[in-house]
Amino acid sequence: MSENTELNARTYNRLFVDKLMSDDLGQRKAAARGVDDYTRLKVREKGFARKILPAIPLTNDDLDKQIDTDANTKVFEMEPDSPGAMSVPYGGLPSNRYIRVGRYPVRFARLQTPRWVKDVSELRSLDMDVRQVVSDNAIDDMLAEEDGGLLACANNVMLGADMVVPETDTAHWRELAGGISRDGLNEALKIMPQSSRKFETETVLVNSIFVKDVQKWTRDEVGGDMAEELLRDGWAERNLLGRKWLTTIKRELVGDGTMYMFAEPKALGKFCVLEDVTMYLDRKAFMIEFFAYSEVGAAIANVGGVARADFTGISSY
Amino acid sequence: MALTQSYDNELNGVKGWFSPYALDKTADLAATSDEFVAGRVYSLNASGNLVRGLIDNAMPLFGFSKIEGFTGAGPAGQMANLSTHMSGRFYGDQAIQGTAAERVLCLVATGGYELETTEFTDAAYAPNALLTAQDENAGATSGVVEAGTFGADTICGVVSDGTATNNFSKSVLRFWPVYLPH
Repeated sequence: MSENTELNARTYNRLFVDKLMSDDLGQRKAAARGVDDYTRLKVREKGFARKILPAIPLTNDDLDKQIDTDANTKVFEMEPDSPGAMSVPYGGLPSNRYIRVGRYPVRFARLQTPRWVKDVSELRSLDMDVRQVVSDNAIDDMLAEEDGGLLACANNVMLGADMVVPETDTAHWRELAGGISRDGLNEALKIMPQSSRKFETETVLVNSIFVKDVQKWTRDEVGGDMAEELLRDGWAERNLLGRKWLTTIKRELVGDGTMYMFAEPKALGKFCVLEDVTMYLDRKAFMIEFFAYSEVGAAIANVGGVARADFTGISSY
Repeated sequence: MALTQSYDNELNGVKGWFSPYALDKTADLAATSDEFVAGRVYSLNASGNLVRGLIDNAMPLFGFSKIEGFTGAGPAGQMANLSTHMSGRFYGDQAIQGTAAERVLCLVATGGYELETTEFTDAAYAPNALLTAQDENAGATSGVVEAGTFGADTICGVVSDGTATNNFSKSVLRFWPVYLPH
């Protein structure tokens, strides 16, 4: 850390402490707002769940009342499937089909971090910007919870590896032999459009270990320019095979040989935010406490928009 | 058809809860457990998951609420809500990721509360009577609070006011939670 950055961090900490210690309510609100503004910015930049299903902000008026629970709920509608057209002899009249619309609920839950407690005087001499470190960690934890939850939903609707989903007549989660090759990736990309719903993959999610195997590709597999670029610059989030590729370091959630595929958000479900990340902050004498919380709800409602390939035969540690 | 209401099965903290420092516990309901019913007694099993019913000499945990969600057959096949798939397991092993679990909030028997539950065996309860709860093998009545015997049962409460009818015309039993193994 440069001397200049250390001075800035100390200055920030001192200003933060001064504001926290102030009896002026306006000053304490300013301290809370400082943390709050920062965390909101990070939410948009980190985590992959909201890149797969863009967050829709909801207000109280958007919620739908439920009889059996006080839990906040939003009900969404599903496109009705069509029985198809048919050819008939002259004089034939159409059969009737009453229009019914499927609905599904998105229930909300609160995410929160631990309550962080500190004797405020111990902040005075810290060289790092403790607000940034703690709030960064807090936000990362909350986003990881969202990310893990979304993948758990995807796993749930796909039923399991190599299991045929009755409604789409195909296995959306498959184990593919042969390692991470150009052929293998294209085999994976076949999974989703092979279902009766015929969606194409829009977003691919893999971990940072997976891309190391892609970087091994030679001129034979990716062509001259890209082979050179991969060798020189390594992988960066990019479009490949016509899809948007997201790379995560969360190996706990996405295994080394695993490739998740998602259709466009409209074909997948909804991700709603009722209360975005908010920082609660309070001071009692010389003790401060703060924690972050949010209220989100999401659902994967169409298995036709999800696929997963687990490549076997790759080295993992 | 009777309408199900949020207060049909209820645990109510008469005294001592809510407090931001109250002793509560959130954990996953075990896959083998009977379904969550608010107001009943739960225990942590050897894996750290909640089971409905009072395991012998286990710390009694009184079920307050759960994260609501819907996972099951939807309008276009299986659907899943995020709310019931977030379980704070990111820092755990990958083998435990990607499975749904019901997150349940309980009030711990050693916390400083007076509680009121709709989940008790219909009987007369005098103040200071000891309470226990049916274990996880009791089926439909697992976790239901009932009279206990000192030295023979795991005691989970002491009757305070006894039974009453609450503002929703539901019978409730009011007690102080305690933990007394045998």
